[in-house]
Amino acid sequence: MSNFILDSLDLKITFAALILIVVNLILTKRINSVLITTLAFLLVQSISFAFIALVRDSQSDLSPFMTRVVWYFGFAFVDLLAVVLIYKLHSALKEIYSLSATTAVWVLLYLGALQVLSFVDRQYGYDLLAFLYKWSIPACNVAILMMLAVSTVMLGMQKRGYSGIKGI
Amino acid sequence: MEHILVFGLLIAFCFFFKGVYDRFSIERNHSKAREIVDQQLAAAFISIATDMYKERSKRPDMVKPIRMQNLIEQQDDLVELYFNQLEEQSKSSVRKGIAIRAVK
Repeated sequence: MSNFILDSLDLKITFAALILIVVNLILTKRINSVLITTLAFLLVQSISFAFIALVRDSQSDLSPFMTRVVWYFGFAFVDLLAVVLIYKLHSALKEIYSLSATTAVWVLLYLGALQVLSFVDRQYGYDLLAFLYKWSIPACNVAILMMLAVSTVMLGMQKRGYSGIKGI
Repeated sequence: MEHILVFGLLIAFCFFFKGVYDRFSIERNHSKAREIVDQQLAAAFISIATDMYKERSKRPDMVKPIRMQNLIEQQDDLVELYFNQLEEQSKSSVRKGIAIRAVK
């Protein structure tokens, strides 16, 4: 399978998430659940850039084993940290969870578990999850981004009253 | 040595995962409960409005003023409940602007 789809896909996703935050604030002039989810998603994508630059492309002094540990467990930690950010922000701002927020949490939990399982898989030589690891992570990112984009547009089109209760 | 580190990290990850998952489930149940309360308030408003509509469209000899008065009192109670909700929201700094605009 050719890899041309994966070239700079994460960069495009990150920029699209950033634009989506601005569009969300322009369409709905208040903080909402979809905005919180987009922020957490943007955080995950941006930190992944840092990981790629520091761990994969740099000439570090770590052994291959430690590099692998830092890469996989670092990504797993970041994914779970994004889930923590989502639910803490929702409870601090007293927001009601939208469908986007719950779906994004499930997908982030799956991605975190996938990172750890891939580490065990690769460390002990089985390499069964290589296909899933390479293709399901960009697929999940694109899916979350599309869901957030549609939710943002739908939220902007709703005529909500000031209380946040639909129709009042 | 490496195996011990991997095992320790896996155990730590499992605890962290379970903690995050449990906490998220609790918060989501709180949020669902609040959403149900909001929906019940809206449904109460709608049912009072439909009852008032039925009262007003009755034949004159079927009308009892006490029923309309009861409905008006119930509606006043609901509106006071709604204002209390707005006041609680206005105490949190983020929603203050929204609540003040609604009260005006």
